[in-house]
Amino acid sequence: MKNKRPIFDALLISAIFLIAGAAFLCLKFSGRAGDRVEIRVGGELFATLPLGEDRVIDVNGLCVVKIENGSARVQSAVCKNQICVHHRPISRQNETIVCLPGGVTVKVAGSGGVDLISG
Amino acid sequence: MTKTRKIAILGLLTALCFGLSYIEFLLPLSRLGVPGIKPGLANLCVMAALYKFGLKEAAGINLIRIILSWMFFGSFTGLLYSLAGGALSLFAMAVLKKTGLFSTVGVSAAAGAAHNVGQLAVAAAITDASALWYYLPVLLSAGAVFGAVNGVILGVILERTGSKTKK
Repeated sequence: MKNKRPIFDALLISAIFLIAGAAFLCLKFSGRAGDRVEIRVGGELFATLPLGEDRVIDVNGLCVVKIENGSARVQSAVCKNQICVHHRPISRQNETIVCLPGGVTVKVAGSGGVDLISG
Repeated sequence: MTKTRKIAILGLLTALCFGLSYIEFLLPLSRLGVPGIKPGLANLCVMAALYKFGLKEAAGINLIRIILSWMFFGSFTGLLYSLAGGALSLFAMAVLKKTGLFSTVGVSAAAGAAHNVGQLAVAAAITDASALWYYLPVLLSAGAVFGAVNGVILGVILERTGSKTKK
């Protein structure tokens, strides 16, 4: 290996981290408290629920979503790896829990404010 | 290098690649809370093929590995993710290597990041498009970190195995 020019490697990797950081900041500052959750199955809207009311809802037997104290989380799911169950509760706009095996997404939405991400 | 020798080495690399895929499959890294985080060890073989032989051979090994992994321990959506990630990372590697500016570390780091972007794009297409970009920052960083580590390993491998690499 003769083409050792570490400066370019460093630049490249820094660039990747910069993009990641920029994306993170964009998402961070576009997030404000949401007031409802949208549950989708395979892209189709399954239910829209207010974050203010505590309740537990079963999503087609794929997973169980629990809304409590103004945030939502996946209480249980039938999938193998349980990533969505381990996800922290969400409460800010556009925060999302995804259960990929079942194609379920749980997304916080809110009224007001521009939706920067899907916009 | 004779044709027979090349075929034998490519076969070995493919087998090794599949073995590494299996090891990755066993590692419960996704328990960390973010889906799709993995060290990308299998990419070592693909990159070795890219450096020792060329793009065509690397693409072949990658494709065979993806199909084998899918048949043995994957799902159909898993196949789509792997194909998108594999294609994008191979593209990134080939282009960056061609520039001649980067060592294996840079090439591999970009490959890792590109792989994750490809997978995320498929995930976004399958589920709610706007939602998944929340994973982008962490997946980009993780891809770059693991990729860079792999790049260091590959650098050592290429050095030790000695024979000239293809320009």
